[in-house]
Amino acid sequence: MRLAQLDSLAVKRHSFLHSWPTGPKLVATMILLAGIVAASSLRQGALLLGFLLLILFSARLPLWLFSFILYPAFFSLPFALAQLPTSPGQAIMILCKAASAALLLIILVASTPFPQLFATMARVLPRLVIDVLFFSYRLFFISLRALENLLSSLRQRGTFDRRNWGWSSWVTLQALGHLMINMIATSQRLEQNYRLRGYQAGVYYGAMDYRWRVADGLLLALLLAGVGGVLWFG
Amino acid sequence: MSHIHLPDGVLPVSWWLLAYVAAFIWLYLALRQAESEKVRRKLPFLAAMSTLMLLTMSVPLGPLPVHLNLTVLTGIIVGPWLGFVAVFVVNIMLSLLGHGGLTAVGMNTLVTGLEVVLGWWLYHHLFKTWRLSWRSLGATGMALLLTSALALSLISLSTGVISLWHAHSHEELGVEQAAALGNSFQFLGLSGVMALVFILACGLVTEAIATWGIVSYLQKVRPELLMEELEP
Repeated sequence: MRLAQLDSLAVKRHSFLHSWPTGPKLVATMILLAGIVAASSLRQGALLLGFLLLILFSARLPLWLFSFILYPAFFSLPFALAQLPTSPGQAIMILCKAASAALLLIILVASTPFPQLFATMARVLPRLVIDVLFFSYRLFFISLRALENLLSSLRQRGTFDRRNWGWSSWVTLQALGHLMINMIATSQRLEQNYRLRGYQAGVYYGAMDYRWRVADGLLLALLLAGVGGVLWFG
Repeated sequence: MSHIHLPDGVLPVSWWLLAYVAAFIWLYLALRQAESEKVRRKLPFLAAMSTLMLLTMSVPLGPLPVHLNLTVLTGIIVGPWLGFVAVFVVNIMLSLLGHGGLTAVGMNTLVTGLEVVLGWWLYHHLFKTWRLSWRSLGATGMALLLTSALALSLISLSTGVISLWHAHSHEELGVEQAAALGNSFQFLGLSGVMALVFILACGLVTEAIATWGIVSYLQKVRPELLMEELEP
């Protein structure tokens, strides 16, 4: 998983998309997602996908982001193939929708740091959910080093040798158990550290307020009109 | 199907909206259970299990289009209510990474959440007299079998695959075309429904064995994790 690279992209890159505040960006994502889900013809799907590609290239985001659309495209394959003999167009639409929606969300994540996303999501989701999201995010990066060390030591001991796959699988499962215990211990330490700093609940509950600008409203209205136009005339 | 995260654009709008409402009601009930300070202290367990699920759900198992979920293990460790919160969180994170649609978070959470609850119940109640590791194997296998069957039926109904199959194989299409429809999905030389059943069976067996292996290790190192009920 390339979560670390995605996070780095969101924090270190600079583009018009990165500098757009999270709130309006999230609303824009919802408008585009609604358009993708509502698209009913190949032309509509292609226009929306083209628009996403335009955003991707103009924000100078790397091409490896396309690798993220393979999973949803693959998982939508059974549904697309079931439609193929009767309606090939519909089958392509299913693939196109799944890929476009995944690309849209990847563009959002690659241009917005996760903590900012969580802070905005805290306005609609319960506090405990946001806390778990934030802790899981922190823990993921803290555990990455432990995972790398574990994998190296397993490789050095010949764990991934194909000749003895039964033993290899057994050791890998034991290593997963070890990683789990390690994660729980790290998570407990993390929570203790937060408690020492006065944390009770709702890490991002008091996230700073953003004042919406007229330009944000205009951009969103333009986007809404664009997506509506594609769905109406496309 | 429990190992296939539904992407956007596959489910009809009414179905995913209904699934969202049901998932939020379930989440509300789960959070009401988790209000006490005792459960608040279990936040590290919840975060650790969510991170572990996030890791395992992101790694495909070789040529098979399946991955480990570890939902039943999560249910065993943190209980059914907090386990549901964990799968909701993981589904949100995964949908942001393009794995499973944002509109399908409700349906994906309901299916995986059902695995958590069923697995927890089977582990702590139905197989109570068995050895811990065998309990986890039985609970995972049975929970996944039931949820996969339910999810497959629901998704087939919602997407119209069953009605399409039925109508076309009897009326509009000829025998050869109907056979082509059934055989249109191919995997490792298997075709149609058999291929899908094979993929699901592989996912089920892999998940059950993985849970059994991890629980065997935990039994030796931290047995209290498997015994303690973390619910209030």
